[in-house]
Formats: sequence, C-alpha cells, structure tokens
Amino acid sequence: MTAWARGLFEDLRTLRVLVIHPPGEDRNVLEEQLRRLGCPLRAIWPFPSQVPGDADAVFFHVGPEARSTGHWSAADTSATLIALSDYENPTALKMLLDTQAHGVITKPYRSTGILSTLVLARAAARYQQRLQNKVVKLEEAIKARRQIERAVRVLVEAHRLTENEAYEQIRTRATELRATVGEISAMVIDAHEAMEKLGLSKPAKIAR
Amino acid sequence: MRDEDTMESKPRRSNNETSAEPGWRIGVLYSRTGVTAATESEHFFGTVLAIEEINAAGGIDGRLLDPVAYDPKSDPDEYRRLATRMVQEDDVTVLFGCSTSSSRKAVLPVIERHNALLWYCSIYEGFEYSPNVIYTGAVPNQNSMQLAAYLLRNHGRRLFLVGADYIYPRESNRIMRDMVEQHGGEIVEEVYLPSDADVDDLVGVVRQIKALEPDVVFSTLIGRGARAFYRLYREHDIDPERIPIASLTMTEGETRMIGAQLCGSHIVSASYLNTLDLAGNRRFLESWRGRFGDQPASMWSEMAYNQVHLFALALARTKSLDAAKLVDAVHGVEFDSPEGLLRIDPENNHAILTPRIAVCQPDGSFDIVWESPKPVKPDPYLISYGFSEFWLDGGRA
Repeated sequence: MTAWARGLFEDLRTLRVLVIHPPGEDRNVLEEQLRRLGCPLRAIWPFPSQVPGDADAVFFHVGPEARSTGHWSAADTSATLIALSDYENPTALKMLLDTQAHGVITKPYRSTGILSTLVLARAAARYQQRLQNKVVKLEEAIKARRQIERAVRVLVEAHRLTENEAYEQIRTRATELRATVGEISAMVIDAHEAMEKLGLSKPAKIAR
Repeated sequence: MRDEDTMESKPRRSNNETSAEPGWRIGVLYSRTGVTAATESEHFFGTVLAIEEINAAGGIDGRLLDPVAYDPKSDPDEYRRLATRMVQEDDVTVLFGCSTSSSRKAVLPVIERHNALLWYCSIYEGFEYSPNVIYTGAVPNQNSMQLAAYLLRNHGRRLFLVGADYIYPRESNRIMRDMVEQHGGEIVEEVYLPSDADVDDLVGVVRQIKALEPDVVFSTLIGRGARAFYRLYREHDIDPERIPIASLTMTEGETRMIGAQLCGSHIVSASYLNTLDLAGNRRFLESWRGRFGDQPASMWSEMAYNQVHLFALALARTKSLDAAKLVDAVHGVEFDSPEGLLRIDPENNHAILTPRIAVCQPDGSFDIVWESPKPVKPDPYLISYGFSEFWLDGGRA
C-alpha cells in the first residue's frame, strides 16, 4: 500500500473531527460510529459563524442555519468538509453545492459508509489543496514571465544587448543576489521607470 | 409451505406442536455443503448443542427455542434468498448464521430492512458495525496482532504469506506485513490462490517455500485447499518443527481431517482451544461428547454454542424477540463459556475475548503456549498497530 493511501486513514485516531449538527438520535448515530473509528470528537450546535480552526475534518448539517450564518465554505479552511444533508430537492442540492463540501452523507445516517466517505473526502480535499497550490504557483510564474519579457526589452533597448544576453544578465544577477529572475526583472523595470520619471532615460520606444 | 428444503438437515425440532405455548422461533443458517462446509458444519453442531441444552432445561420463560434451519451451500445468493425466506415466511427475527464476510454482507440488507438480529460467530477482519448484528468472533486486535508478535519473538523474522484470495486473507496479511516490517522483519513472499485452489497451484507454493526457506509460513488458506496444503507440506519434506505454518483458522476439527500426526508443530491463534483447563470447558466438552461422540470440539463449534447461550440469557431478560431490546439486554449479560466469562462490548457489539496461541501436537491436541493475562476489548476499526501494545505480556498459560 502506498504512503499516500495510508496517509488518508492511518491517522484516524488523531484526526480532530468536529460535528455540527443538532443533538438527537441522528447525531448519536454519527457520533457513535466516529467513536468506533477512534477519532477525537467534538459535537457542537448551533452553527458557528466561522469554521473553527482546530478541526481536521468537519461534518456539518446543511440547512437554512448554514446559509444564515454566512457562507463559510471549502475556500476558507484546510479542513475536510463533509455535508450532512436532509433533503435531495433542487433547493437542498443548491445549498449543498454552495458549501463546496468534499463529501456528503444523507439521512437516514447509518454506521456503514461514514468511514468510506471520510477517507474519500480527505483524498478529495487534499487533491483540491494541491491543485490550489499549483494554481497559485502558476499564476506567479505567469506574472513573472511578463515582467521578465519587459525587463529584457528594457535592457535590449538601453544597453544594446541581444535578448539572450539581456536574459543571461538578469539570470546571473539573480543568482548572485539570491533572488528570483522575476524579482530582478521587477528591479530592472522599477529602475527604468524611475529614470524615465526623472527624465534621465533615453526616449523610450518601449511601450507599456 | 417449505419446498425443497424440507428434506434438509435440521436440529431436533422442539415439540412445540404439543406444548401449550408456542416456541421462540429462531433461524439457523450455516452451510453444510460447499467450500465452507467443514467449519460451518461445526458452527451448526455448536448451535444445535446449545439449543438442545436450553430446551432440555425448560426453554426460556416456559417456552422452548424453535429453530428453522436451511443449508445455503456456501453460496452468498443462497444466503440472501434463505434469510429472506426466514424473515418473510418463517416468522424469524433472530438468526444465527454465516461464516464469511461475503455471506454476512449478503444477508445484512435483509436483516436491516426487516429489523431482525443476526448473530455472527466467525472470526473476521472487522470494519463493520450494524445495530442489527452481534459479532462474537475475534477481530484482528484479538488474534492477528498477538500471532504476529509471537512469531517474531519465537520463530524469526522472515515470513512467507499464503492465502486464499478473498477479503479476510488480504486484510490479515496487510496487518501481518505491517507489524512484521515495523519490527524489523521481512515478508519474503505474499501469494494468493483461488479458494478452491488445485493441487498444482498448491505444489507450486510448497516448492517456493522450500526454495525460500522462510522462518515461518502464515497461511490464510481455507477449506479443502488448506487441508491439501498441510498434507503437501509434509509430502515435500518440509519440517514443521523448523518452518511451522501459523494460522488463524486451522483448529482441532480440520487437523483431524488432515491427519493430526501430519500437523505437529503447526501454530494457531484463537480464543478457544479444546484443551483449555476451565470448568466451563469441562462442562461443554462433556455435553459435546454426549451429543457428538469422538468428533473434536473446536472454536467453530464453541463460538456458535456461546452465542446461542448469550442470546438465551438476553431473551430471559427481554422475554421478547425484538432486535433492539435483545441488543440492549445482551450488553448486560455474562456467559460462563468454555473459554471463560464472555461479554459483549456495548460500544460496538463485538465480543470481549482472551487471545491464545497454541501449537498442534501429533496426537491432535493443541498445547496452549501463550495466553493473554486479561481479556482484550474488541477494536474492529483499528487500522495501525502501535509499538506500545505490540509485545506480548504474560507468560506461558
């Protein structure tokens, strides 16, 4: 079994689980099964206005109260979110989608299936988190790329370098200054713009 | 109303037709034919013995137990069909039956839909809880864990795993591999054969064992395949004293079928061995011999026997066959069973058991070489086995 797969269920005995659900028999079924799984467990009601920060997985009731307490959702927390749903009509499905939960358990709750949903939801949450991190990195890379292109043009114009030479210059300085190529490019652009404002640069033909 | 099954084997029916009160109707669903016939017949005999004991003592609250029994022939579809017939046509709400996870999973929807109660006495891999099932067999934290520790401590670090290809062997081997590797041991090979493995497959495995020379073989083969494997082991001159086969299922009944003289030095981890020196066991064995003669009692018959007695104790409190009431009541009863005081853990409806490890003697008896100093709570959802609880405490039984 791969470490990745094990990681999704081997830590169940230390996984901090929060259940947000009105007390009663339904909640008891959930709580008792989560105890059998061995998860450290806390159950609360009414609905909190913010996602508690100290939970690794949150089982939460989807209902009007979730809507009225603001729209906290998967984007606000790194916890795995599992919706607990009463109805399957379009209104309820819309509410369910709005929560951006990683998994759902529908009434009547049964002991069977809770573990599978928890494990799969954790996998989905982690995957989503990884994709999110990648998106942030790619966005940074695209932004840096634009700056690098602009900085290269500045150097080509100002110092009569070829594009390759200009890029090489930026890269070498980046290594020496222990900065990224993007950061050096930003410095080049800032410096160029400052000189322009002071009227000290050559008439710039580089647009933008 | 019953058609083809009228001719099937049944426990002696109580004579409720002539008594004033109707009996307590119960269902008995064990395979007498097919892959699991050997172990399930033992379940059946244990069940019969307990029912007859209870009825001989006057039944429960003046009414006798009134069993209906069918043979599902080791086929999950048959289990489901016959369980459905029991609850729909035979007025059964309490069933004793199944011996594998596949047959239990097959009847579970029927049991839950009709709010019936299933008593399941076989060892299994855990990861299940139903409010409609009482589980009286060991889960891995009551047999596999102790066996892994025992083998590492007493037989070396190189293990060969062979199993039938279904869920219990896969899960047992996962646990065995985890614990062996965590503690510096090595799994030299892990192979799976079909449940009805043929001789050529088995000979192939025996040759592999001979070539690899592991310190011990952990086998989760079952039925005919397992029995053939133990025989081939000796035919190919592997010395069990040097390389024993360890198992969770190879008990007194089957070693006798193989030939006990061929099984000396092999190891089993179980909560019951018929050599246990306890008053409850002496009573059980006397009753067993009176009913079944020379045939050896084993954990298969004993667990089935125990759960009927636990049911009777609960029924004496509820005086009703309502599933929820019985489950509630069984949490409060205690049975002085052949393996000691037996209780059900209210948290998960599994039995609290005492793990034991035994070595087979050439005369067919099992010598208990280790016994847990105290009963172990069932933890059917335990995934990883920490270091702290790993090493065996307590000495020779």
